[in-house]
Amino acid sequence: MTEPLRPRAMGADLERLEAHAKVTGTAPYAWEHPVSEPTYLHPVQATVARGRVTDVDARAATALDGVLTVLTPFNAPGLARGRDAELEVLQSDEVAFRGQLVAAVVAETPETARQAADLVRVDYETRPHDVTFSADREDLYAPEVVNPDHPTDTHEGDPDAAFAVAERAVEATYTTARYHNNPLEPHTTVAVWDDDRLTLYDSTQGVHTVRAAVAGMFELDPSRVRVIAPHVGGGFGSKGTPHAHLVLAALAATRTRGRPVKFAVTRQQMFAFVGYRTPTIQRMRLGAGADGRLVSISDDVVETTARFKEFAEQTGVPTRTMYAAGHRRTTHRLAALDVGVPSWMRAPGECPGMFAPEVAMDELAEACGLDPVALRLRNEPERDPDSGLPFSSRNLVACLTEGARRFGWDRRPPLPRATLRDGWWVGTGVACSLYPVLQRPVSSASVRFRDDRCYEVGIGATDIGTGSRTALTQIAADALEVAVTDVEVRLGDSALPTATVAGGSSGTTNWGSAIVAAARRFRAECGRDPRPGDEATSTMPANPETSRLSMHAFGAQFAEVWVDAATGEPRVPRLLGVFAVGRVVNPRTARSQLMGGMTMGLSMALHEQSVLDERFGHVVNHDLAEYHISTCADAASVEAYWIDEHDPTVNPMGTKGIGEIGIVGTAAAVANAAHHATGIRVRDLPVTADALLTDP
Amino acid sequence: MAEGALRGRPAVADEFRAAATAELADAAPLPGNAFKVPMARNLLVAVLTSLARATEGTRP
Repeated sequence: MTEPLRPRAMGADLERLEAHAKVTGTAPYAWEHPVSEPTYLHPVQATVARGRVTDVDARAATALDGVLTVLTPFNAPGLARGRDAELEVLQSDEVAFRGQLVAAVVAETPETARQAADLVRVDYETRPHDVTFSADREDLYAPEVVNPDHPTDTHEGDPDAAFAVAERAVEATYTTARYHNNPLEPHTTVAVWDDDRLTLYDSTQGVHTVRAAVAGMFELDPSRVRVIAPHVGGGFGSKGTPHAHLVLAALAATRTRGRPVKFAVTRQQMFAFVGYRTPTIQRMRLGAGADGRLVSISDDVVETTARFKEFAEQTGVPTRTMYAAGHRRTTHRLAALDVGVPSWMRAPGECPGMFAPEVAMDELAEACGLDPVALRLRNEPERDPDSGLPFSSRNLVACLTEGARRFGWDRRPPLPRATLRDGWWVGTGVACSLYPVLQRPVSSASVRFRDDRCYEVGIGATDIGTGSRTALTQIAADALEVAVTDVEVRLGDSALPTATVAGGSSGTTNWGSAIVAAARRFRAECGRDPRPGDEATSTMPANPETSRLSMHAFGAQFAEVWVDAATGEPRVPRLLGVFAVGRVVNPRTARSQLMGGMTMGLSMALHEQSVLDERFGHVVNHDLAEYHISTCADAASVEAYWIDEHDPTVNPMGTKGIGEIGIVGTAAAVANAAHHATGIRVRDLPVTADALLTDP
Repeated sequence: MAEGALRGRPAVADEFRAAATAELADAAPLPGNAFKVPMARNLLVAVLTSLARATEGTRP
């Protein structure tokens, strides 16, 4: 284990370093980087869900003043094949899903490009498509692994037999909807070729991820591709892996004689080709003794993937670690459909995956006549039931008890449908959160002492709005034992040392560890009184503790739900979460992350749902007017707290990652509270008025 | 239809419910919006009942 870092700047309530630039509109996002003589791309999307492009008639488009070129599957430059089907833009006439990119116009203005794209006529040979998701499909299959490399199925003991004889049993099917990530800043790329060098100003969660993907598709040495992303307006996972638009912009820029091509995906296009969260169906079976102690846990997951590229969400994985039982099973089966490929969305796996078990636990508490908090305390495992390893720290009990105290849980009536107040049924619910500590020892950082006596720290990390630039500055200051004002962290540029993607709540762990390693090397090599120009670079060392300990963050979320007795309309006037996430580097940005996650969980609980029209294969509510996201008025009171958790094994900072855990369990807490309010058990998200309506 | 059912009757929940039921008798919802019929009925009863309570003791 590396030596823990002494916290001086870590823990300080530091304002975001770029806050002023952001609120004054001077922080450049991808679109806003000044480039000379830009051109503008607007894509043409498939209007069939499956088939073949037989002809593209671009005459009317090219006749418009200001149209520079129209790319089609018949004239587009070639790309590498067999690396990533999603990125093989315009490489064949096949249409694999509705909304796929089938052509693109490049013009002198965005308006001209858009008008010309409307004029491009595409003829198709239409083939029958299949986008119907159901657990009853006969062609469900087991993927080799689930995201990113978890076993597809796990088995222990004989869960069916143990369930059959259990004194208390819950068996039910739970579903989560299809969700679209919807970061505020749309996916945007500005692509510039200079001979055989490509520069991309991209809205991405990982500049090196993009560089590797694009270099691969264009068969370039990665040193010839530079990706720049100093500020990113949210990603929620949808900018964690490169999508087709990025390659299309770079492809188009090969045709503009060095002029930059700018492509900002529209909100409606964001519902077609930049990823989304698969809908899930989880069949849960919990068997327990009369005392509530679990003896059998089964979680059988069915979810979707695209027929042309596989993505298998690890929905059943959290169940493997959350609670112990002598007999356990988790399985994943996929329905391959003619749809765009699902991808990461905030807490892939854990977020949809914790909905079913945490509602099932509420049902089990009811079946046992136990308080839902007490049931969970009774089922606290001593080791990770999945790996058999001890937990590096598991402070779920503290989260539950501290949360119950803050929330006023002891005033809760034990039975549902007990409180009617001013025409509203009032109830409360609880659910747990967990998220793994993910780390990969591949990120590097550099430390250079400048003429102005400032320590410049370089790492190709990205700040997608989370505050990582600020947190990394605090970590660097502590690692160098200087004030934060003596440090400048540079990130968001693939010319800087290689860094992992901003995903899996792993940024602070991976990048922070690399910075600590680089700072320590700098001090070892250059001393405490360095000369300007002194520099050191280091890679994050592997953490041997990861093979000896199971590392997870935990949390407990409490929700109050009011349900209109006449209409069934649910509201959530209060959410309260307590988390155990290791050291909090910056309480201001950490609190925002946790509150943001909880609010997104509230949004999942009550509002968000992408509706697929099975006749045509597209999402019909593909804009923010019809894809409902919780607003400030919906999130009346969201409180996030954390306990003091000291875990020196996870990394030198003692941090566990906070970007995703806030969205894990929220929807279950809300559904459980809705049940406590009304006595109606809703197992399908979102929880809407029609499900809670009673007709006396 | 609802107004006719209520004319000359006491302003109480049971009467409102009967009137709302009569008003909605011809509603022919689809599977996806069938909930709107009881929702409308409940809402009519709830709003009229609260209005009746609020105006209790005042002249019509």
